[in-house]
Amino acid sequence: MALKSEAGLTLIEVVLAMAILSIGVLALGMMQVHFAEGTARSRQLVHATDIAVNKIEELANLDEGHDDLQAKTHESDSPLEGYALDYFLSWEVEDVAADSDHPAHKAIDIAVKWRTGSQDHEVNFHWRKGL
Amino acid sequence: MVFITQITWGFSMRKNNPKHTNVAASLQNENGSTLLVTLIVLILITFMGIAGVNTAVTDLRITRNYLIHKENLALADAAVNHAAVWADDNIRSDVLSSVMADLIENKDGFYDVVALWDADSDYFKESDWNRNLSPIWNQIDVDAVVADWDTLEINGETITHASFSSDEPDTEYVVFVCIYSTDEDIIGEAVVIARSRKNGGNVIIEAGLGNR
Repeated sequence: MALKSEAGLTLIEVVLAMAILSIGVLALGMMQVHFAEGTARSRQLVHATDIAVNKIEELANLDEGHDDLQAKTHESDSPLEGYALDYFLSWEVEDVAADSDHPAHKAIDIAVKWRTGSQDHEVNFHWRKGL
Repeated sequence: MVFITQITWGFSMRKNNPKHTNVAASLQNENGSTLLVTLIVLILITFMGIAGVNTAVTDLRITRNYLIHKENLALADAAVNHAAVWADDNIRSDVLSSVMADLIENKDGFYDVVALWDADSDYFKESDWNRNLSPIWNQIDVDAVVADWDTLEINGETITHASFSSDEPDTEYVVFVCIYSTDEDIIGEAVVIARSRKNGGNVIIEAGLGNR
């Protein structure tokens, strides 16, 4: 008998409650999208950073005469393999001659670029290699 | 205060009203309970949302810190390479140690360690150091150097840091060089302390260099 009682559940209450709840659930859904975007952005930054750091390690262990250390801009047209997104790695090598303050060395700028939707992203690292 | 007064007034009104004298009966009135439950659920959802936003923001901060750390690590490494090249080129066994000491004293960021030792500096660990027995990289107190980084001095003279590029003013290094002659050779040892503080990061690398 008590279960059949509909006291406290007026139509206006239900409609109002549904409306408020809908706004809340919609907001939560939108926040979920933002969380996912934030997490994806974090993952992309970590990947790009690791790609650049790995390249620095690779260049550090190469001989001065290696092709990868010739003074020019090195870049590949194809994206790096092993990643869900397309990351493009490029590095610019400049031979810096010795002067009173600086010994001769190679100035190397490394860039990792990627694109999400219509937005371009880039991470840059500056490094020097002694000759 | 006004709110409390109204409640008290409402309660006393109910108490005086014969329809509401029974408190238990008034508790059984369920009007508005659905709305109340919905609002509670909404508040819970809001808290979940705030917690989620905090997690996402923290995650992004961690990633940014990771990026800044790696960036500064590369720059500090570049500074060490820079110093190492200069030391390798200039600390040579075919040059008199006194000439080399002058060469070092006249270069920003490079300091003869004997001056540091003679000054009984806090940056030097021992007062009875024997250069023939203990290499210089065991003797420099890196923590003390880093603690005084912006006000480093020897004998009252400010130490000027060196930089490998004017484009990277946040990356600096200082090199303490020890040059001495033995019967057979001139030996050069150096400690490079590089520090990079770009974008609020702080990476310090200590490297020992030897040349003979």
